[in-house]
Amino acid sequence: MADYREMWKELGMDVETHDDLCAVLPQAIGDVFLSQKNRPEKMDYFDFVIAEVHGVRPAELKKFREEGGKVFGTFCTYVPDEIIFAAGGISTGLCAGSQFWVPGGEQVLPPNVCPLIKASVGARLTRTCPFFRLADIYIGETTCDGKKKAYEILGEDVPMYIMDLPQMKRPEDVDKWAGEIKKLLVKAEEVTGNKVTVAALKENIHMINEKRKALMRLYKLRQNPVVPISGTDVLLISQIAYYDDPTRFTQKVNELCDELDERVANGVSVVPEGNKRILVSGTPMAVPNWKMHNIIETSGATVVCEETCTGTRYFENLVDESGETLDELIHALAERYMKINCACFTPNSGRIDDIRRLAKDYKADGIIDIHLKFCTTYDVEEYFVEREMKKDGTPFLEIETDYTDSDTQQLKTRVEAFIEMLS
Amino acid sequence: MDTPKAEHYYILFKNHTDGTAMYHALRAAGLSAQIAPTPRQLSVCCGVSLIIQPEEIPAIKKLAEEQELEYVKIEGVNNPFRRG
Repeated sequence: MADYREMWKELGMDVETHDDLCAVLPQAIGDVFLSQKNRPEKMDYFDFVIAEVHGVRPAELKKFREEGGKVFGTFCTYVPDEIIFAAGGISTGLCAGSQFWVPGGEQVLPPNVCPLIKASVGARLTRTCPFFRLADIYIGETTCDGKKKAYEILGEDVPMYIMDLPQMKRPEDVDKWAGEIKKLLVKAEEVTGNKVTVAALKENIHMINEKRKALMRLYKLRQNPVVPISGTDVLLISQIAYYDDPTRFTQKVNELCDELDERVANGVSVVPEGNKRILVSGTPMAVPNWKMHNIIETSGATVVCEETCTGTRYFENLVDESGETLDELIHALAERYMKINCACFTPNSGRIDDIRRLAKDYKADGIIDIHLKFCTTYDVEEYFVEREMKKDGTPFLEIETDYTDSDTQQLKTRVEAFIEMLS
Repeated sequence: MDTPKAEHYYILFKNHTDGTAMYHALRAAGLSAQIAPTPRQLSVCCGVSLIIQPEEIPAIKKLAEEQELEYVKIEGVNNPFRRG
């Protein structure tokens, strides 16, 4: 019950409105996480982070700024954190995952924009997200039309810098993205006042690679027939990855994995034998969007993998650390980031290959493709995902939803019927 | 005074440092403790608290005294967690 209200006031937050969020979050965390049986003990760190989600980390960022540091707010897995950290800055994710922020976004955006965008904008404009008060600059990217235009609106309120992500994956597009990363580097140097050296960039590429390796280790453990951790818990970890100090996060994920190794060796599962294994694919799930995982995992199935930006897209593929010049390292970054298969690309057949591979590796009994309402790219791409999975004979369910609870019962019925069909 | 037969019992702290210290001390002593956000019924501030077992409250109080662990209060709340 630490009192962060003074800090929130200092950050210019609307403490009274933010209080409404504080009122509901503890019960939601209790319902979704603390009610689970037989959770790994080392989830305690992640429980701590989510209990203090608008407290401890914002306090760290505030202190960092008071000591002269610069904080960069980011919206997407395409923004290379390595550059920001190499310039001596800190990169942080921003609030975007709750219906609480959507009405604020709808004050300036049309209703038929995806809830993630509306929540982002609403969180900033209603002054109810500490991360949105702490960033010195916001790094956007051109991953969808809704975001591009929303950034223009946000840009009237905060300093925005936009990276122009190519929409195809030809060799010249990788070169173009390398050029964008180079421009980000110059911007990061300008904002922080620090020069990015080869040594600093190598060191921070290594740091983020270690974080990716820890998440790879965590996910690999979920491939076992014994399920040592729930999908809902892993989703929380993936969400926290966007906010936490990278080195501390890596250490905590590895400590958890040590415990999960033992669980697997001893046959300790969080679910009964025979529970159906689900691969979730689709759009990102920002904190505190646990809606679909909670529905699936309380309907007799377990989420064993997420092909999302809060899943494999965040950590798959390492950056080559062997470069000896800034140009070489930047190109290595571009090559790694351009391997992320986002639906903003055309064509995006690599995503189908990913889903097919993940379904096999994680021994999925079925796939649930989930996209947020009004996310046109993922919605349209679902046509190919479903067609190809049907060719493979993999059971498939498409879900379109938002952050409200209005469709929860209907979705639960559909998910239960799907899982029943898998039996 | 603890609420009789409450669903969950919480220890509340002034700050997260005290909460973390208590958590580690309880676990080291073999006592139950679950990190949780403080429910609205107990405080208007977001932040960490610990869910404990009511039968262990005397042992917890004794441990806190012996190890000079700071906490604000222990209180029960009828807030069942509903899974699904």
